[in-house]
Amino acid sequence: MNPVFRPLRELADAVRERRVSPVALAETFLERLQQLGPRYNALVTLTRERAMTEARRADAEIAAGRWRGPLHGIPYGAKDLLATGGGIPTTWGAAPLRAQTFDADATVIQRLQAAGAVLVAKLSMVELAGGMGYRQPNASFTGPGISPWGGTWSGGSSSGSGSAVGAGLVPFAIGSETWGSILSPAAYCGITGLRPTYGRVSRHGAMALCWTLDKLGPLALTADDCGLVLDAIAGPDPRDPTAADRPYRYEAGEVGGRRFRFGVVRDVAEPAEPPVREAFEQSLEVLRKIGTVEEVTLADLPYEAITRTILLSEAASAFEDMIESGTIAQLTAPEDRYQPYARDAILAKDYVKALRLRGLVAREADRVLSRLDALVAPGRPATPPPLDRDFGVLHRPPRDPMGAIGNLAGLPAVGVPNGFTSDGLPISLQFMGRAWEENTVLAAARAWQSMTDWHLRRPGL
Amino acid sequence: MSPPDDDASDADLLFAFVRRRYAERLSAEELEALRRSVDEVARLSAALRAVKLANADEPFQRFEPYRADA
Repeated sequence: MNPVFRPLRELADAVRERRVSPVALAETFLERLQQLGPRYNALVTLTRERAMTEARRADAEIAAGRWRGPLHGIPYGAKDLLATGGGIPTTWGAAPLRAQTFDADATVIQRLQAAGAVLVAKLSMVELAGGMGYRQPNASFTGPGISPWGGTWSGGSSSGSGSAVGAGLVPFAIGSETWGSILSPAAYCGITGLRPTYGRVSRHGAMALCWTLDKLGPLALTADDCGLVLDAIAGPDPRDPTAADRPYRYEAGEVGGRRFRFGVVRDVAEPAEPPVREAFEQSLEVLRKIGTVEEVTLADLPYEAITRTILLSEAASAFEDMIESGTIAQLTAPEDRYQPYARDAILAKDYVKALRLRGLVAREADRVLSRLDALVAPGRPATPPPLDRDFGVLHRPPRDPMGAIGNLAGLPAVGVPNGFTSDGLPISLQFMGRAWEENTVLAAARAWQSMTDWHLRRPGL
Repeated sequence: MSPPDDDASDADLLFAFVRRRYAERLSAEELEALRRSVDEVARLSAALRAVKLANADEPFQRFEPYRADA
């Protein structure tokens, strides 16, 4: 079988039935990463030696009848902010940290190893996960992330995780989101991404950008794939005090016949670019076949200002050493070399005010979501920008209140493909749910993908 | 450059602080861009301060006393 662009269950069945070996899978995807990874600036480090060791172990275990589950023997890539031991660099996408190594694997990497998955690559990312305020695609020492659809920006900061999955270089990848870093590459690379509830997945061993906003989650071809991966990586971890003591099991039951209650925040698509708005309006017609769609209103609060204040403040502290020492002058994006200095102007009382306002936002979001299965909205308000776009000054990006609210309140969301522009660039849709309701939003996304075929389209490579 | 005068805005004063700390590392063009970033910080601050909260509205972030043997 050709394992490229296969959903995880198909790969898992083939591995379990020994129609394909984990070694063959690892060799296939290592070869694709080596050949095609540079085309998309997706690759930082090919972990060939580790991958072949893990694949051979999986081969032996499965041959001995010890199949661990659906990720056993399946290759994957990790955003290069997840620590890996064994001398494999973990660069955080930043030129001055090219040689950085850690002694041990991040918890997420350990959990995937326990599930039998095979790490084949550390994938590119926007430098320091965008924490310095980049305003252009070219903000990583590996170059701008490139989408397999049309050569536009891949989105970020989980750029390589998006483009590698979108180009069939790995079956799935792990990314992180502080504000938009999973949903944006999922949208711009035409794939599915899951942002879990804050605290669902341990961040131990992951680069800290913003302690109260950072989340780790999967990018894959389908919502079902994302559920399978979340099942492997979720759960409490004594090494991360924010990892909630809430065991998680993915519920992959049939969604046929299930009725959903969807909400649409009034004017949510208003700031979106016209093709995104048009696709969103059409998606509502599809969603009405599987449930109700009602307009909802949210209190008038400065959602984006609250989220941005928290993000800027915590990132300034997380990277205090690099900023104060002037090491940021070695970063790739010119604006990342000086913009962080402006954060000295954020007063402590304003940061605390943002944390107080966060409570209002969390309660307001839950008030609305308590009557719904999910809020639906464009996955990203913008279409994928060209690689030379300055999206901060001349082309200020459309507002993103859903991203601000969802990340501020730590809510789960799934981004799924939702059509293409007339130029063939991908557009996405998001389902955002109540805290800890990953199974609900994944069910809604699976129902969506059972009625549409956007997630089955593949780029010409 | 002379210090900000009495009519200086909050953003002027904040930028004066930032400039004092980092100007020697930056070009004139970068300083100009940094000024715009400070203006953005001032806008964020104004947006937050425009919302009234009650005394009981605590930071949405729980503090827990620590004991190694707990």
